[in-house]
Amino acid sequence: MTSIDQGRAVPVLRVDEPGPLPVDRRRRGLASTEVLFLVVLAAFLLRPLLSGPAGSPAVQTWGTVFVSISVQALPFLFLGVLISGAITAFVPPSVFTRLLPQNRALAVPVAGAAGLLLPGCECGSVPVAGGLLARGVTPAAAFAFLLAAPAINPIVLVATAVAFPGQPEYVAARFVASLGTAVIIGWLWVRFGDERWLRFTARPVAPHGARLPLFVETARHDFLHAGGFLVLGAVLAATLNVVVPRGLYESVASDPVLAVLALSLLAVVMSICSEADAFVAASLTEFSPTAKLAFMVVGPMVDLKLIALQAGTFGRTFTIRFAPTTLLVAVGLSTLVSWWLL
Amino acid sequence: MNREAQDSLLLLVGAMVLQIGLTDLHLRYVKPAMQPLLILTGLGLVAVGALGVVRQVRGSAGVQGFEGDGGEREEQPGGHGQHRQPRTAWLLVLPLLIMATVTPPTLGAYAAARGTTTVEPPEFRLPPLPAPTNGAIDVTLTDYYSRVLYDPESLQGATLRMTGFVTPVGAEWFVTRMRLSCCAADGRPVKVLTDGPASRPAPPADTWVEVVGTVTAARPPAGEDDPVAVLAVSSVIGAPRPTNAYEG
Repeated sequence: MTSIDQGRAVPVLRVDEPGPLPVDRRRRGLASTEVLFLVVLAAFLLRPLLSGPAGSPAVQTWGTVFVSISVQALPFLFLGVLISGAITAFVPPSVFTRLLPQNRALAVPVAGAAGLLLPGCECGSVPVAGGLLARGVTPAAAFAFLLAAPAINPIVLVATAVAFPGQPEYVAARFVASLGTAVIIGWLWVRFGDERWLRFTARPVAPHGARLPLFVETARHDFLHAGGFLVLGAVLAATLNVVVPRGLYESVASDPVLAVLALSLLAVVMSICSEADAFVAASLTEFSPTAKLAFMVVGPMVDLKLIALQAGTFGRTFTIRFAPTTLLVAVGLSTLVSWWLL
Repeated sequence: MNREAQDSLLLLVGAMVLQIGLTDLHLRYVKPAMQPLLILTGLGLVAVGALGVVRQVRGSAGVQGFEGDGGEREEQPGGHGQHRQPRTAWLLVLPLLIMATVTPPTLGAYAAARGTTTVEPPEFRLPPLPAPTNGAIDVTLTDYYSRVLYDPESLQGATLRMTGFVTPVGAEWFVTRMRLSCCAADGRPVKVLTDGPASRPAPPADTWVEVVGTVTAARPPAGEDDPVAVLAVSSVIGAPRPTNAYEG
């Protein structure tokens, strides 16, 4: 059990321990700095050579979509790591034990409803949930918060109201289905979850007078770590965006069942921010209200960049169970809620 | 990845985000409203990276970093090692490289050809068309498409002018703009089919043009099934790409 175990899912709840002394730290250190600069230098030198293959429209479109997913997400990820850093550095663990009910089944809906308080999109809530876990918040509550926050915060609800003018039932349905999914997943974790699936780092408590450095350090570490996974997710999302034509989804729009599945899948592939996904849903005019709702409920909870971020933050063992379960519950509940409200 | 490389990477990514935010580059990838967030994020990342550099320098000058700072702690067996040197951070080099080498353009004909136009029904009655300037009324492609679908009377007899890029379809072409809701990942086209002798021959794909014309009956492009909005064009001239190439 070492703390230098990068990105590998270890089915043991690990507490961070000092790693082995990096004996050849100096030599390795020089290497990675040099590699970074050589890579960047090489890119500039190779620029003229790249214009040929990179000039093809498909590659350019891939590049545009990749950069836009990354650039759109970075501010929200940065906000998320700042909050996560602040939780680690400035909020004593006792605050969470006092705020959340002791009973885990009760803590889940409370944490889910607390999602109202975090204005941001889904990429920001991953580091925040990671920070909560590291502060000893029960995983069921942290996951309810993780899923609810990007879907039910005020900015997203207002955006949904604007995107569906004169149809407030969409806002209500989105709120109910999203919070419902978050709470169900939290309860499923209480019943079936296993902390051994999780990989996370317990964080140090700030010694007196060193809160600010700990804040910066945590935010910095989280950003570098999660940022890498964000890029990985953006690569996958951009690739599927370009490879699978949108027309494929539209071709099943008239089938009531396939339409819901198609838009759920589109939400996973598109990986757009929850703040704007209502506008995209509203533009999918040929699809049923149920399919549009599923698009808005699934998107903030399961998408390619989120899956990459979650795998990076909580481990792969966890994510291969968490993401499919969440997808199933989200699609199922969207169908039920839409039958009731839409 | 060691501290020095991490600091450099933070500075580089911060500088990239800052450059995208401060220049018109952000208009290629995200909505204009993201600009302040990008600038703040860029500044924040540069600050975090710069702080790291300052600490490295101070650390090597023999100033003891505080507990919680990385520089020295890594080597203290009793310290709280938070330094797991995230290897995945290397992936952050990829957007840097892509921006530095190809700087992907705005979505164009390739993306437009793969989507169909959908325009939501207007929330309120569409306002009357504005007064003509220089002999024609300037409208957006979205506005034109919306009127064709939901208020065709308003277009009768009007000479209209719109700007977009060329998306070829068979021997014909659409004058096209992409619409974004969030970022280029959700870009979808508004495509108006051009008709009439002035529209031939078709200009090369992705050429920016200004077209002037009048409304005519909707029809599918040759060889396709679904009717689309059509403009009978009287003139097609080259136009500069607008600062914001996207609509709505």
